[in-house]
Amino acid sequence: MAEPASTAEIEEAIRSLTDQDAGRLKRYTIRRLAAIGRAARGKDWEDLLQEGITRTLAGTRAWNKNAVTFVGHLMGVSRSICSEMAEKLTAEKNEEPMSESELIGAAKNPALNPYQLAISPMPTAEEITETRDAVDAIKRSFRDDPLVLDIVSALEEGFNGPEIKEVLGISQKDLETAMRRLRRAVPKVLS
Amino acid sequence: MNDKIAEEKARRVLEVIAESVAETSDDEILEDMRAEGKDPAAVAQEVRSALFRGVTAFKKAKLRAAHEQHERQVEELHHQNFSLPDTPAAMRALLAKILTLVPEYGPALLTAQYRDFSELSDEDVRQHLVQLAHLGAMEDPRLREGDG
Repeated sequence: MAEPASTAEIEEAIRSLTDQDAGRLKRYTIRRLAAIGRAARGKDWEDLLQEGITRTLAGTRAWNKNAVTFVGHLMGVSRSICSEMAEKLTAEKNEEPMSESELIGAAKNPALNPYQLAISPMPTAEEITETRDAVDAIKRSFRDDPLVLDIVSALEEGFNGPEIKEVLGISQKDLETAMRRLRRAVPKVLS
Repeated sequence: MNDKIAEEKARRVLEVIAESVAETSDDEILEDMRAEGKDPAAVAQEVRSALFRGVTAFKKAKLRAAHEQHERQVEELHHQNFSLPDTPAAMRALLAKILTLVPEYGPALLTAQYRDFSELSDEDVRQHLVQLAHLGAMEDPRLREGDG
């Protein structure tokens, strides 16, 4: 039976974080938040990690120290929190915002018109801008690197690693080095 | 719909990049940080501090919740109404009866000088009955024996 880690064990795990693990956590959370764009509602990587720790200590996402490393656990919790935030925004967009009577009595003034005020289930141009512009910027920064551009296109289409290798006819090493270039470019693009 | 698809595609790319960080080797992480002009030790300290702030926030919230619960319980106790006898004499009789039935309450309630509680003031008797009521002593069915 898996036993969740105690507060003392969690504190010790924080103290024992290596530079590499800490760096990995920060980079991971920054990129996870970038992937959900506006759904992050201004939260930064520190907010995300603190929420992860709170959930861990509260036991809502207990850390099973025998099954996963502390960093692995925090990355998993961060991933879940980001998914929740993205789902929450989608749900808000899809929820029925106005009653029928409000809609029937729609005012002519656009500012008072419930049709105008209603949240569209479609992302607004501004919302799309954040994630799509980030990827567009990544593509622009790799305009002289056709392999990375091809990989980004394949990722957009939902291909996984083995599929990308097969479709593009590249080796594992080619894929890894290209992914590394891609990963390194992101901080510049997001800054 | 095109916008929605474009958003999903972009998100997919960014998620894969994020997940690739999870799989990056330790050496690469250090190299990447240095390539960005970051000091790995300083970044690590920053991350540890952020996590410890989360721990502190959790502990404070827990403490606050415990304190609020205690306050609520105290408030509830203050607002509980117990049906005490109307007259001081009846109250005194009730206290005597309780202490006879459950003598263990005596030492907990009365100091040595008041073991003979005939010396207690009427208000002291009332207060002791309230305390006993909080302890559930008034619910003892034997107290009602002989009533009516």
